[in-house]
Amino acid sequence: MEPKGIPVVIALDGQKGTELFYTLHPQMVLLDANLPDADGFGLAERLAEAGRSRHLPLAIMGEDDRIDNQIRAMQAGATDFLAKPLNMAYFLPYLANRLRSQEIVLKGTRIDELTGAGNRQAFDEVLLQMTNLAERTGKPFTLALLDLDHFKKINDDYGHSQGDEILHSFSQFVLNLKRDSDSFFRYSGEEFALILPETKPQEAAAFIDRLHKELSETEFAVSAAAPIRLTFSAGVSEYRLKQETIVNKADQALYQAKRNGRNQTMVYQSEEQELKRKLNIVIVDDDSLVRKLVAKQFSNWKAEEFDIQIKEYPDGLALVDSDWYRPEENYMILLDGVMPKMDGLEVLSHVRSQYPHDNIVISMLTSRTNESDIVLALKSGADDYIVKPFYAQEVVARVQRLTQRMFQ
Amino acid sequence: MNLTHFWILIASLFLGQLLLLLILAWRKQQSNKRESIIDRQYKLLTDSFSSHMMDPSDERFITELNASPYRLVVLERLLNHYVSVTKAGADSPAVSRLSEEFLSERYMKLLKRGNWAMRMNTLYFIEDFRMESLVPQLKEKLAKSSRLDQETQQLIRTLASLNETMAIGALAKYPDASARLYIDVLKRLDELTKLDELDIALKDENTNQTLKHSAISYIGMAGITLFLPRIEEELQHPEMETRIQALKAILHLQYMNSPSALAPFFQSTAWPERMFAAQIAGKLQLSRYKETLGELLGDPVWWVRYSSAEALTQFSEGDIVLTHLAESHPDRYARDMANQWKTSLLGSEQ
Repeated sequence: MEPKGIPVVIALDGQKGTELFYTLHPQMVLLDANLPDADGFGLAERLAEAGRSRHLPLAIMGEDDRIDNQIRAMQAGATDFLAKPLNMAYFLPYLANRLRSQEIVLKGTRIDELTGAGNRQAFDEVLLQMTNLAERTGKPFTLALLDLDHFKKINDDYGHSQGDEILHSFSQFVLNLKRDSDSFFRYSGEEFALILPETKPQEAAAFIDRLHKELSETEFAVSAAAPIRLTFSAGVSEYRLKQETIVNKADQALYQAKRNGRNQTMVYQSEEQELKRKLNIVIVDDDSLVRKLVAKQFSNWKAEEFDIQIKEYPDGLALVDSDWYRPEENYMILLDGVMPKMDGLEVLSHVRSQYPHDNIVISMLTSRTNESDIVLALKSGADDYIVKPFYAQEVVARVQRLTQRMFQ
Repeated sequence: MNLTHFWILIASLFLGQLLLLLILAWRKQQSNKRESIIDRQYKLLTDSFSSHMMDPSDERFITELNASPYRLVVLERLLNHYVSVTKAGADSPAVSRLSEEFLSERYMKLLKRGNWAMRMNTLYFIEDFRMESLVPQLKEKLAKSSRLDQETQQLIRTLASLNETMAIGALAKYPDASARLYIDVLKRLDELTKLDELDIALKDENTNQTLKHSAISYIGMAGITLFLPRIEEELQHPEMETRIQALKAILHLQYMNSPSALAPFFQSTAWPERMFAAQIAGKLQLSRYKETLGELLGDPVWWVRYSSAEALTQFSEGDIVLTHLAESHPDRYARDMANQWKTSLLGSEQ
């Protein structure tokens, strides 16, 4: 599905599936009838109920395609029953069909009648969906707020109905020029919002500047008067992980654009240190030489996208007792297996049970080499297992690969 | 002896004991003090040491080390720890350079005058730090030793780790040298030297059978398939022990150029040869021997029956063959063995 431009997240069991459903608000759900931890039909019923308001297509897939199961699927609220193995030639057109239908149905309730752009409710939903997706996959997006300059004067000069015409025309102008993947909304009054997925703020600003240029060459007809030209100001802000104020920041940038004389685009600039995300490399090992060797090796790692800070703890208890965690930062924890006071596995279980998974990657760095220890560590939530003796460069290379997903 | 003398004797004994206790306590205190200073120095130098190991041009460590009163002990501990936690440690030029510069003189003295424990530790350190400058002293020491005791054994291992092939010759002087020790020596040599020495050990003119067996065994353990044709030649060797070692090596290498060379071993009078032949047939899935394995299931020796049944399980339709043999084999013990493996196969499926 992904090569067709449909982002997919996979859950191996019902619990994870439910968690993803509520955090990502997917547009469609494909559910196996036989899950390791839940009855697929029961789960389908709950998800269908929760997704009813957004007309969620929900397909149950099962090897046993007897009519009884198909009836159960329909009774549970599923929209379809798909027999396994899936026929891929049928599957992709089916999927496209369902998503298109949903889009058409949703359009009726999510479109701003006056302008044809998405309404405020749609904006809120899409923004939530995009932030959740960004949190899960690390893929950023950019929000641009567009505000028509001197719109009050248009209303005053030509009347409100002409003003509405202008809003509609401007909206169509942007809708025609935006990329398919971008979403355009009427945010309020003469203020519009454009969400640009997987787009850097500079790219967004370049696109908006093109809009400025095109707009400057476009005339808008108003009845019984000469056509007028429009300008708008724009504020752009990129979504960064754990950030809740993207709209405020875009709004601040927009304000700045207005203050600078209108008809321009401003990208939100915070202080340098705020702009760069932070990766904390936490080394927990009772062996001071190992801590130093690994720390020194990491100190040579110069990452462009984020700042690296290295913290060392002489044992597990020192980490657990300290105030090490900041929700807005990212962590890579290297844990020794055998430590006095608190064992590496205990620390691992503690971190995994007390803190979120998304921004904490844990790798064991230990001399325990038997298979059962490795399996236990991975089951307890370790992302990697590095055995001592180690190559310091190899540790860094593995950590770089592991942390990539946090900063994609 | 009157009472006064008695009391004087008691008092002097008591004072003597007390003095001894005080001396011991003082010595312990001194040693604790020394240890705590060394410990502190070690921790202090860890940072600059780590930097120096990553970038030898960072001379901060050398300056700090020279200022330390216990520099040799601290450096020894740092290097020893470094080679134990990092894979690059043993082959690190920085480790060799630092140890040669600071520790070679001390080790030369310890090899001559230290007590047994000190000499043994020194030998281990020389091996771990790859201190080539001490080879002449080690050779000299080896020439003087007459028994293959622990120290001589370690001396030979240390020389091997410094890629000295004379370690093999030195072992040959001792008829009681074990195959294990030969293997220890072979695995310490560097890759090219090792291949040369294995080649020599396999040649007919080599009369040292322990060395030959160790070489064959090591080739199997290390998976050096380059020697596979030579190992297969050894299957024709008149001595049974050599043939068994060759069979074991083939089992480890998991490959044969000419599987037909295995055929005579199924009829061997020596049960270990029949057992290894069965194991190889299974591991390499040589289906031409499937029927023979069925026959060997009725072998008089339990190990051969066991290995034959196990070998049959390696084939894709092994469970069907075993089920068939469990019912139709003329030998009762063979039927039992087939049944046992059939059951265990069922267990693993569930």
